[in-house]
Amino acid sequence: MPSRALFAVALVAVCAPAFAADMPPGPAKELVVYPKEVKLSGPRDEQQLIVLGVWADGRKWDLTRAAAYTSAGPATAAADRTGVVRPAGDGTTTITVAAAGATAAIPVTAEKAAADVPVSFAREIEPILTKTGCNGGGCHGSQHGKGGFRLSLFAFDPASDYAQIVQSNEGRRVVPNDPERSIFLAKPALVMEHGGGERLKPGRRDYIRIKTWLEDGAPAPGAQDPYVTKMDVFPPARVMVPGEQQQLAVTATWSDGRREDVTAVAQFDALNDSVAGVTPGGLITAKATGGTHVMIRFGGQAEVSQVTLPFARVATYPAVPANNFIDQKLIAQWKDLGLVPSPLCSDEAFLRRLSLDAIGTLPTPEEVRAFLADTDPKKREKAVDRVLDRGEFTDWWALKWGDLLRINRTALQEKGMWSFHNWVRAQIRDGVPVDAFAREIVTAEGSTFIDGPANFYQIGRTSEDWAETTAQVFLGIRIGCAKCHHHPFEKWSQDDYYGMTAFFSRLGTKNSQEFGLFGQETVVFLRPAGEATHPRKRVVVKPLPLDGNPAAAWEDEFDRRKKLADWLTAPSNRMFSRNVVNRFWGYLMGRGLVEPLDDMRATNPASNPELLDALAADFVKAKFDLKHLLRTIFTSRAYQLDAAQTPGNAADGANIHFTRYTVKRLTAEQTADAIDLATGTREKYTGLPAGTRAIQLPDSEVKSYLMDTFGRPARQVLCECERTTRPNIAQAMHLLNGDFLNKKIADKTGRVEKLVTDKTPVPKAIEELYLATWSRRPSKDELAKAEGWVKSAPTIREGLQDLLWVLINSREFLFNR
Amino acid sequence: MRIASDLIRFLCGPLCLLCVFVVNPAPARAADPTYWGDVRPVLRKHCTVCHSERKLSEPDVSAGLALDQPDLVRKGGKVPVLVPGKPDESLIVTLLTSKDKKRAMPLDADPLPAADVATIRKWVAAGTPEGTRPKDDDATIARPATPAKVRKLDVTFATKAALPKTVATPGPLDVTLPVGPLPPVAAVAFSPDGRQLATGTYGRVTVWDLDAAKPAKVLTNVLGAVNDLKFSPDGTLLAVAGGQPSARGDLRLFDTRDWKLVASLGGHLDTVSGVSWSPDGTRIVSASFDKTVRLWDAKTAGVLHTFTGHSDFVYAVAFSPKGDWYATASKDRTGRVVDAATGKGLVTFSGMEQEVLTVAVRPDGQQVVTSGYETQLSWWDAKTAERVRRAGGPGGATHEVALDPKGTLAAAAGGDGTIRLYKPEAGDQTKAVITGSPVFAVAVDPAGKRVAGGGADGTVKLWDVAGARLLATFWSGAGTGEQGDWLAFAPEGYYSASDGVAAKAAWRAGGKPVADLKLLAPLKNAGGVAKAARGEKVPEPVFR
Repeated sequence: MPSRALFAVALVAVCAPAFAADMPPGPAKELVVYPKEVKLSGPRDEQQLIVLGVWADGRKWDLTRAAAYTSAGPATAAADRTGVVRPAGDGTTTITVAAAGATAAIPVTAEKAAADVPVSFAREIEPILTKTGCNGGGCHGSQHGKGGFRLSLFAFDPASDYAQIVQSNEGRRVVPNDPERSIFLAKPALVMEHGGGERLKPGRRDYIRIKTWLEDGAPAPGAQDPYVTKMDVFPPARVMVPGEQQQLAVTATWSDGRREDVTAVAQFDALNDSVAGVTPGGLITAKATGGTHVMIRFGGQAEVSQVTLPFARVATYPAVPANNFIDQKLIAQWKDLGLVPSPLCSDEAFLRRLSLDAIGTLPTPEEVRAFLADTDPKKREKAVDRVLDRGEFTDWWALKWGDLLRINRTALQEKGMWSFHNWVRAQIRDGVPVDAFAREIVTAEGSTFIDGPANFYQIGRTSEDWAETTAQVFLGIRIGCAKCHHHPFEKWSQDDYYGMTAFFSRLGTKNSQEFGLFGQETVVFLRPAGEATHPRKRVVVKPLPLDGNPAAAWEDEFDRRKKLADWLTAPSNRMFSRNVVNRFWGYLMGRGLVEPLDDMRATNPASNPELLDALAADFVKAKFDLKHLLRTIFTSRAYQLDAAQTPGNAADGANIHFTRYTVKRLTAEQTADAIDLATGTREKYTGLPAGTRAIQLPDSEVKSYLMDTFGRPARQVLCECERTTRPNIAQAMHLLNGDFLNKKIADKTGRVEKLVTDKTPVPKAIEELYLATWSRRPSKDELAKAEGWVKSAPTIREGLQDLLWVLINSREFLFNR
Repeated sequence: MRIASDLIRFLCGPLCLLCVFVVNPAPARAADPTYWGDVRPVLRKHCTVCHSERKLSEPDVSAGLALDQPDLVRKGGKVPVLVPGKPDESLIVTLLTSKDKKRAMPLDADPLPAADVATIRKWVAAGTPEGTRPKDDDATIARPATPAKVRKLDVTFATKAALPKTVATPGPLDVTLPVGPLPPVAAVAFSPDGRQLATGTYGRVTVWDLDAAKPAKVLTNVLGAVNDLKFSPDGTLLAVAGGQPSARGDLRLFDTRDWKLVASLGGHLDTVSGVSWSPDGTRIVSASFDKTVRLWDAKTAGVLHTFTGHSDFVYAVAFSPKGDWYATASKDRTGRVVDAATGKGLVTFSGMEQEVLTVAVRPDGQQVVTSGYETQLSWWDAKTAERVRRAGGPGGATHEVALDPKGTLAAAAGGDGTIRLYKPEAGDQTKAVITGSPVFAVAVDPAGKRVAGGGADGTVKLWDVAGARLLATFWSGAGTGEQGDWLAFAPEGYYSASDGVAAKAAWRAGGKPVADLKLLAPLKNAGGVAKAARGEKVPEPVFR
């Protein structure tokens, strides 16, 4: 098998990860200094320099703290040992950076160095309160504040914070004519008792800045104060080795155009501290192999800096064939990370996983036999095409969309549920592109019993609900936080939130009696007027989608939602396409490129951003065709990799880089149907015609203890996490000890009974049971053992029943691998 | 051991001194750590957020143990925490080093640095010497070694006067003083005869002689913030309420004849936010951020009772006209009526969704008015606590409501920079003045003709009620001399000022510096300011 050979080559090529946290030997080829020139404006401006040494072999090393900084004109500006340049007087000079045998000269300009510029509350004080944690949710930023002092969470409301600090309680907290007597300074500096402990150190930057602000007369924030429009982080990405450090520099761009180094007041958080940690000053320390990000927040903006620590250094990377662009993007990353993929999976494994992932259904023994017998080298592609054309495709993906859209009879009544469910089925059956599908839902109106998608507006009842649902379902963005305060990990503000709700502010629902007094349906209709109101600013908020251009026309005289749908499904709106492809990638691959699937944000980056973008672009190019997307993933080599770890990829324990297939437990519906298939029976679901399969059920309120135990979602919560595949003891007990399975195995019309009635030879019967459960033939050894057991049983019937019981209660049955 | 101690007792007999010497450890040496010098800073950092005198009323927080006073440390909690000389038997040491997570202190936090534990251990071993207690003033906040470099911000006072076109720099006059930033004026009070106006800012009380348009006295022997001022009904005493926020309350009585400090009513554990005299002048009631209200005997300066019925800061308090009860306003969103004889709560004003910042009693004693962050004025039946009326109110917050002695006028100090005037009988707004800065304090003169407002901008403004007209502006602050710097100023342009201020003043006309300062001679006119302050019409200055 070629894949085995590949695996052997890879094994040889992998070196043990033996890294030293030392600077590369010898002199650096050159120093890359960020920024290329320093422009300081104002007495308190500063600039963090980043000095990256580049060696001849391409390796890089952060020399920011190792470099010697010499200013040609110290009367103009000079850098301290950590590479922070501060002004001394107006003028122009040069700072020479020397490190690792190389030098670089950085021109520096300082202006207004001695100017009398009062400290700005919004621009300089609020970031300190955020960075030091004063206004965090556990402290004064909580709903009721702490100790009688309440600040807005992460400083989203400077006017209120100012009033709290300076004016409330008759100015209790500050003494403007004697700043250091202010409890606003004395408490966080622990000069007085402070429940929050020491937050400021007297004499340090932040303490002095607040003191200076008080000395300046505690100037108030103004309505015209600039806000942060953009934040840049340098370096945006680094490949590092354990023990290596990297200083970050953060630059904020304000709405008045000013660019300012805010490294000292930005917040730094490690997203995976075991891979890379970061200090409050923005110094990253790489710790263990893997990839992670450091989150940087300032002024309501959030970004990440990527840190990659190769798992191994692969001397000669094996040639891994690429079936399509998915593999190309993954292989490129694997090379960087020193990961080698597992070999291709067997045909049996492929057919089983393809059937489960594409149509939620186990292949029948006949399908397995036919596929194994097929010698066509393109048989996997053909199998993919076949499975995408199966009728179960509609069942399976209608079930998925039903989860997302929360189709359930409690919220929609039975008629509404059927109407919505059948509409979704029709869209999938007809291959309606996902953009059109979304548009129909977002712009739906009419009777909930007749117009299926109108039920979308029955799940929530307010424009806030609808805006949040739309953002989460179709963009994977959780904007709920921004309802009450600025999103803590995202750039979304209350303005953004209410801009979204404004699209739905004219939507109403009313009862109709068309279906009789007791079967009232609801009619979703548009009112001629209705606006969204900003709860804090108490002003009308115009409709504006997330990141939308405020200058564009978002008003629509008939239905604002049309404008929203246009924007949502526009090919240029990558938020939409990324969300869709990430979800489907996650369903198929066991893990999203962005994980959790429905938490897309700048600070939760994809494990392979290039791949996510490429998938999104391909999806848009294919006109949002779901089958095209699925076919692309199914035919990729990545999808067809073996599930077993190899030494070349074991280091990536969570398999976030998809170097092997991620083993998944069968979902509740897959399990129920697989048991039916294995036992040759059909579960009867209350209120539905005989023969209805679990994946065809319209909602989760059809009684099934098995499916409830196996984590069927109630469709009450707007979260992918509502469906769980977590194992629990009830699942095992239900299958091992419960009557449920025994009855099915012993069913008079079941598979075992048929084998016995047909007098199938035992080895053939055993093969049939293996194929119906594990979708493969037993190995010689397995066959021999099974035959021994079956024959030693009191009757063949009982023997085969026992064997089927064992096969179903095995991991190979309950897992998709 | 028994034998040994018996032996000592036998040998020593009545010589108790020796016994004491034997039982007590060696006297403190100079190098030993002391409570005030070494231990208190450690405790402040790690312990006294919970174990403080202020938290003794919350035993689930403090466990009844306070560590912020040496005598309270010695007293211990439910059990003593100190065995002087024996650190290993002292809970204060053993709990700091306990391995038992449920017992170890600080609770749910990292253990103290070894050096800090060593300090406390050494202090206990040395017999818990107290050391020198810093002065009251410094006990809570150490003064910086070098005075703060407070920028002198320009404070500008506009006038209605204008230089005529005939001079080099014509146009409207204003005067700028480099004296900012100014601490807010948080308290104002008229003397019962209406001839004096007391104003309070951080660390300073200025008593203005309105007849002379200059300070009669400046009191700086007050601690920290000044939150309220009240003259006794007979005018012989001035009560000054304030203190160091979050640390110590301060309530002082000054004799208004010689301005000597008569009494210092200590005991509140946080700033005293409000004070009120009983009508006969024998008792004083004080409200504090320490959540208590205390009733004092004005003669003996002793506490008659402490009312602890509020669960949060008490912002204000007001006596009834007969002196049989007082009403309170609290951050806990209620007001209370408390029996002045027994200290028992009588009724509660409830139903407010925001903090109640101020309370006043109508002179007929029938109704109480409260307001606060719910800025409407709520009028309550004093007996039944039924809300009779809720109306009016400024924007932002109502920081204080003041009534004149006859009950003809209610004035509300607005966070929106307005002072609004109401009829106490009907609750209708009659007038409003715009001061330009949040108003923290308001007082109505005994005749009900003028209103004084103290604001966040650090000045006091005097207004005419009938015409809603600004009469005069007062400012007093640090400077040379006993009275520091001060300025009394009428909008017509007349002023009276300390020499220091006169020298610093920068006059401008039409936005440009006045070229010929001699032109301004007519403006320096204390009589003119005094006349304006009385509410009389003053002629426009004539420039030649």
